[in-house]
Parts: sequence; C-alpha cells; structure tokens
Amino acid sequence: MSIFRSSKNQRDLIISALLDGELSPAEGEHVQAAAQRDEAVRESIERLTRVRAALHQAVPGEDSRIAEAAERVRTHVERTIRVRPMHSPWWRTTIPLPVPLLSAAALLVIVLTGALTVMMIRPESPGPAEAPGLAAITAQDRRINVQVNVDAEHTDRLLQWLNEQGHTQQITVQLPEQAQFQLRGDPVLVRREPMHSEEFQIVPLEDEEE
Amino acid sequence: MNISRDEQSFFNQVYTAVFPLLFRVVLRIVGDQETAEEICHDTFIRFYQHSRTLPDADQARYWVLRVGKNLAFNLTKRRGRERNAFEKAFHEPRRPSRPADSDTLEAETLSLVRSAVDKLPTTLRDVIVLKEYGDLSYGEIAQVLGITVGNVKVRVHRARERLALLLEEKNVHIPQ
Repeated sequence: MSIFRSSKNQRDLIISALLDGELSPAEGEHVQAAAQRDEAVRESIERLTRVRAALHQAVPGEDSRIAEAAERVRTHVERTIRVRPMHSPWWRTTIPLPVPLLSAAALLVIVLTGALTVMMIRPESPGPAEAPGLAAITAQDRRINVQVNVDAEHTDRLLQWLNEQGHTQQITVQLPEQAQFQLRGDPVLVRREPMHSEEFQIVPLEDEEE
Repeated sequence: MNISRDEQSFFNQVYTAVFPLLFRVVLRIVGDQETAEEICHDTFIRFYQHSRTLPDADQARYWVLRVGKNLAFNLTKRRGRERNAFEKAFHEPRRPSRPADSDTLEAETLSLVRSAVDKLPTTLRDVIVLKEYGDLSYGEIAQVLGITVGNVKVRVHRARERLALLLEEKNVHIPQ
C-alpha cells in the first residue's frame, strides 16, 4: 500500500489515527505489517504510544473520586436550583434571529442614528428674509461670491470693512451707467512697491526716476 | 427540583452520562478535586438553564463538555495571571508546582504533563484534552468543537508531536 511512501509527517499522522482506533481494520493491518518490516514505523509507534501513556497516567484513586464527586456535585446543583429560577425571565431570554434580519436591523439603527445626529448638529440656515447683513460674513466665507447692494453713502464703509477683514481677494464695483467722476488735484502714476509686500505703499513713479 | 418531570428526566440522563467524563477532563486540566467539583457544579447549573435550547442528549453532552472544558481552561489561565502578578509584585521566585499531598515520581510526572499540555496552543490543547482525557472519538470531538473530522485528526497528531518534544525536553518519567 502506498500510505507509507509519503512523508514522515503523513506516516505519523496515520500512526496517530491508528492509536486512536480511527483506521479501518484493513488500514490497521497494513500499518502493523509495515511496522514489522520498517524500524522507523516501529519507532514512531513507540514514541506516540509513550506520549499517550504519559497523558493517560492514572490519577490515584480517580474512579472512587468520580463516584463521590458525582453525588456531592449533584446535591449542590439541586440545592442551587432550588433558590434560582429554572429558566431566565422573559426579558433575559435569548431569541434566535436570522443573521440577515439582524444585519438589516443594525443597519437601520445606524442610519437613523446618523440622520438624527446630523439634524441635531447642523445649524439652521436662515431664509432670505432673515439674512443678516455684512456682520454675518466671516473669514470662513472667503470662497463665497457675495453680491452686496450698497448706496453711494455707505460704499466707503463697506470698503473699509472689507479691508479690515484682510481676506478679500477681489472686489468688483458695478457703477451706475450715469456715474460721473470729478478729478481732484493733479493726476500721478503710481505702482505697488514692493510687489509682494504685506504693506501696501504707493510710490509715485517720479521718485523712482530720480 | 422545581422542574417538570420530562426536564428532570432529561437533566438526570445527561448528568449521569456526562459527569464522569466531564469530571475526568476537568480534573486533569485544573489538577485538584475541589476546583474540579466547583467547575462541574457551575457547568451543570449552566446546562440546567440552557437545557431547553438543546434538542437531544447528544447535543447536550457536547454542550456540557465544551462549557466545562472552557471554564477549566479559563480558570487555569486566570490562576496563571494571578501567580505572575503576585511574583511581579513581591519579587517572589516561582515555586515548582507540585501537589502538596504527594512527592512521588508519578505525581511529579502528572504535574509536568499538565504543564506541557498548558503550553500547547488552544487549537491543539482542546483536541488532545478531549481525546486523551475524555476518550472521545474524532467525530465526537468535531461535534464538540465545531470543526471537521479531518481537522481533528491533524490537530491530535500535531499536539502529540509537540507534547513528545516537550516531554523529552523535560525528561519526563513515564511509568510502564
């Protein structure tokens, strides 16, 4: 037979099953025959038998202990049962449920919890009629394009406020079609200097030429 | 007992059939009779509370063995942790774990074998305990542990190989 042509590990696996009485009679006879021929098979059988013997070593007086213990434990169990309810009350009873149903229920609970949390945390967005004025525009809104209608009298205040914020990147002023300008003083050409300076300085071009 | 006649009969049937096996397995794991009895007591109380969920005596037998074995190993693990904590706290050297009632070679061998079994990984330890101490078949062990018979066969063999090495290292005396 070919079982002993395999590795030592496979051979010992079969021997282990033989010792446990888990081989068929034919297989068992084959292993015994192999043991008579092969020294290595005999050694494996002896080695594994020694391990079994070590584990099976009798505890002194074990059988008599078992009979005594059985009576003692039964008495204690009966005594305990008298003071405890036979079965758990209904609110502690385990109800077996199919896994898909449990998964769906768990998912529903998670989704509902999430939705409720978002509703509680999210601030209410004001309606158009309740929209606050400039004071409500904060530095966090820098990427928002805002159109503000300001009359001529308050334009300087608006520009001053935007300058104080320090985050405004671009301002477009839409002038009325009939706008008229009046020059005051002599016009000069200016440029920003330096280009990337934090401070905005107006330097007349005449000074540079000098 | 405040239970119906059928339940009483079922409990008695399982108790009578399983107790000797359970006690032997637990006694080998924990090493002393008093603790073994306590664990058997707790196991049967749990069985008593779960008996309605177990369809027949075979399933009940597997259930009781599984629970008892787990309780016994949990206890030994907890004792080990407590012993280590004590040694760490008081810097006491580890004492050899030898039964107080006997200094014989056999008792020492039993203790060494138990120590070797404790060193096995859980997957190997469980099968070898049920096989050698419980004398269960591969099919029964598969039922108790919820694994295949092929797995049981391989694990039993691996456990024996490991134990052989551990026992040879310690030069354990094995009476003939």
